[in-house]
Amino acid sequence: MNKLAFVIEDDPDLAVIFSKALKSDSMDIEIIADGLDATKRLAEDVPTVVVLDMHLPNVDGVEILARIRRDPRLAATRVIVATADANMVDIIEKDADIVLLKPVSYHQLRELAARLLMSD
Amino acid sequence: MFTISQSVWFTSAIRGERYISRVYFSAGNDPYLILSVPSQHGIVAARLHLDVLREVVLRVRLGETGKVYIIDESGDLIADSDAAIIQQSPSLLERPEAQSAISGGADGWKGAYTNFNGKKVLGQSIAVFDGKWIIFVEISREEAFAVTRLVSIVISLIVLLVFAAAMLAGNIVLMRYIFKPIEILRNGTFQIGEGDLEHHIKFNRQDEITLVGEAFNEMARKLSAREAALGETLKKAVDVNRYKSEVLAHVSHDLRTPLGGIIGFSEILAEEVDGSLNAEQKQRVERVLVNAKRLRDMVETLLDQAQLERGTLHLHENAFATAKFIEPLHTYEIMTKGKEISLNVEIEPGFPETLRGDMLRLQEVLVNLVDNAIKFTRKGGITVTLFRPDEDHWAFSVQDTGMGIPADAHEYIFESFRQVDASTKRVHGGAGLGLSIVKQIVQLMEGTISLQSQIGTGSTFTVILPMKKGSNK
Repeated sequence: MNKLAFVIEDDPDLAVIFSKALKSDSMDIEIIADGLDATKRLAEDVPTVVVLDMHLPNVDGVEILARIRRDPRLAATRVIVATADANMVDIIEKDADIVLLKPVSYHQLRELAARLLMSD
Repeated sequence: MFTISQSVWFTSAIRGERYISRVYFSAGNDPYLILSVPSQHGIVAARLHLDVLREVVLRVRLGETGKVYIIDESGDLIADSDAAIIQQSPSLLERPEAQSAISGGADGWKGAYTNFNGKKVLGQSIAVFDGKWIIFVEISREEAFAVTRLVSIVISLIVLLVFAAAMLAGNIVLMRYIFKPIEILRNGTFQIGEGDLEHHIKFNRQDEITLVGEAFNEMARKLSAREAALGETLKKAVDVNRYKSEVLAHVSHDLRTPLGGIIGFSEILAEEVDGSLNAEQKQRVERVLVNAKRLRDMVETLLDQAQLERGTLHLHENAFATAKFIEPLHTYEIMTKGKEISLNVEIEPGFPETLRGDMLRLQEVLVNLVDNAIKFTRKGGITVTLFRPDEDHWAFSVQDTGMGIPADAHEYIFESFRQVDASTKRVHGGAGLGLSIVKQIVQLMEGTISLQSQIGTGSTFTVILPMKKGSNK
């Protein structure tokens, strides 16, 4: 069975770029543009990796990250946070596996994701 | 009951006559007299302290034995170059020289006589103020006759008398009309100088001096208005600057998102993820990428600058691996490939594997310095060195073999919007904020940045930072 990745990002362009960066033959990618939808999907499935935007409609990234870390089912899920706000880093750093400051480079994300998944 | 309207000085002046009283003595035994003159809107009266007279008689000098004194119309001595005598106010009415002088009228009188001090003198008198005062100038006969040319002495006496009279009359006029208003003006100026812009002056008269007073008050009013306007302008300027920083922060922030799209998709195209491009297409898309990244760097720089100005650039301190800190340098290995530039990273033996600080900001400083070095180096090598200058600090230096920076530019190269000169700026681009921000961030970290450079051989920027607790020494 293929691994699963969630790209939780409300900007459609960035969502596509993140998806492309994570794309591999062994990875299924799902784009989620809404915070509430993301919490629902996370309750149903167990993604290997989540790319998470902080500013999302309905439920924000900080809340989603906290929920992931509270959920034992998702203990192995790797979370890459993409934020444009450097001041957010302190708040999310302990819960996120990687914090990337926007604009996130396609290269950067692809390399990091590959390294992250390789180490698993 | 005593009323002003019964006073002689009042009734005389109201009739249009000038009035000068006899000399009175105050409780403190200071001599004074009352002056009153009719004026446009009533009368002006003054109490003139005779210290002025004393000054007049003391200032006039004639030979060794010269003496000047003044008597009033009733023969009372009111001023004397020998100031002690006036306190006793002796009457000289009985003295022949005084009687001659009084009866001599405005033309004055001169003669040889024994004066009230018992000295044999040559004297000359002149009446001033309609004969109310008589000024005497005397010189001892001995001294006068010792001088061969007596005539010159007499002429001197006359000159002296005129001078004394003019001085006396001048003093009274100046006292009332010039000195006092000047004192008021001076006081007013002082008040305004102290910042009391509400201070207004008031003269109880109607002449040129009053006009000066009004002009003065007008000046104070305008100053006050201008100060208010300046305060308003300053407040606006501060507001505008704050607004500018806020707009800058917002715009920079909002520019990041579309730039992310442009850069991301360009990268995808350039990597041929969605299919291969021909050589020309690949070259074009790489140009898009290069330019978009430049734009992104500028936006980042502006955002940093805005945050530094607003004081909202906060540091996020954490422990981090040294290896991770220098990770961004790997991308330069790719960038410099194929160029005549090499990038070397040297880590001093024994350098800690873990450090503490805001790693992202430290990387920004490092990357900025390396970018700068690459920009100004056409050929040669760039060396990044990590070392410990002492127990309490760690440091990194970025050394290039570029064109170097002239010594006189070392100071201002860290200022906002400054590069070495306008022509270099055109060649190398950039908003000129890079080094300014680098310095501000380093300072925020309580570190220092320094520059050693020689024209033609290259530059070395060295950043020294305090060793924070949590780093493994």
